[in-house]
Amino acid sequence: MTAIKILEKLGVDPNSDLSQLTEQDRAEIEALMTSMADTENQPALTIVKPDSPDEEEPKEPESVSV
Amino acid sequence: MAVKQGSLVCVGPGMVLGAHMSERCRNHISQADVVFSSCHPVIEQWISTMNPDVRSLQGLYGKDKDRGQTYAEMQAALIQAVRDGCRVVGVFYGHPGVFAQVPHAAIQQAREEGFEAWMEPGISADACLYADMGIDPGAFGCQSFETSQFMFYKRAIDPTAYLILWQLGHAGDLSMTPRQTGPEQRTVLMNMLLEYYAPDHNIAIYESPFLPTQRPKIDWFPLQELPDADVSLISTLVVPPGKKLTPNHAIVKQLKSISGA
Repeated sequence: MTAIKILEKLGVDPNSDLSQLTEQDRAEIEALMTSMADTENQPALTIVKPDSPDEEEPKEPESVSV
Repeated sequence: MAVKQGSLVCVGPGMVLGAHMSERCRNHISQADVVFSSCHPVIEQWISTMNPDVRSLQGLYGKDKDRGQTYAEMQAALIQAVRDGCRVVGVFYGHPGVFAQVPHAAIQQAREEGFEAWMEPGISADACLYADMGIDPGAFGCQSFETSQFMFYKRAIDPTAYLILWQLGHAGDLSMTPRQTGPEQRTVLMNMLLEYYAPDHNIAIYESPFLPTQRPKIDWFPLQELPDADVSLISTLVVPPGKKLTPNHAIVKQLKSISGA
């Protein structure tokens, strides 16, 4: 069984885990993860840009004599 | 307007390989003419077992390339295939509409051009977060923001509810590239949060696994250590309530008078 199929079986069956795998299966998974180690993953799919800041600061209110 | 040939559905395989994909999602993928995918490379390998024409969108990212440009190209790729008359499926990890602007934009454009286009939900990162961390968003309320948007715009947050900040790895990013930001930007974020929370308020970084062989990462630490926290591009910041809820006696009194209680 390929590593992907082994992982899929582990994901689908909540009662299966790594301890039930054969040495060969474990080696397949390890080989897959090693081959993926240098692969880039870009998870971000949302981007926000800030608005430009106001050019002028708000004016101070004028003082009022009482 | 008559519906044209060519369609787009955006689906989500969930977060963990094998564990979260619905049968319906799998059928969408297997029955598609072409599948475009933006998921972890291992997940994409898995998706490739379901359809002979699976095209990764990950290659559109570039080290110093504006992410906005990348997302525009992703959208264009989806739309072109729809215009070519294909039944197109876009697979976006987790839920295709949660913190993912490309699927929403592509569906909107496809509809504007007269094509059938829709989105189907998947198990999102926040669903995994609630399960893995034992958080009920209904218990105290939950505010959820993209970290950089939280920093760029003035918001009043409620410290009596959970605060979840997504895409922490891009906190305060002005470069719009795929690169991660660092301790300087997180110091700015920390100072913003110190307006609402004590320096020793415990917060957590959460990362969902993507393989069934992995465990979630949940690292707790005081707010004042945020700048030096171990952050990656899949990190989410979880800030539990820092203050108790204040009862609104006047409103409760009004409601009691209505119900006669």
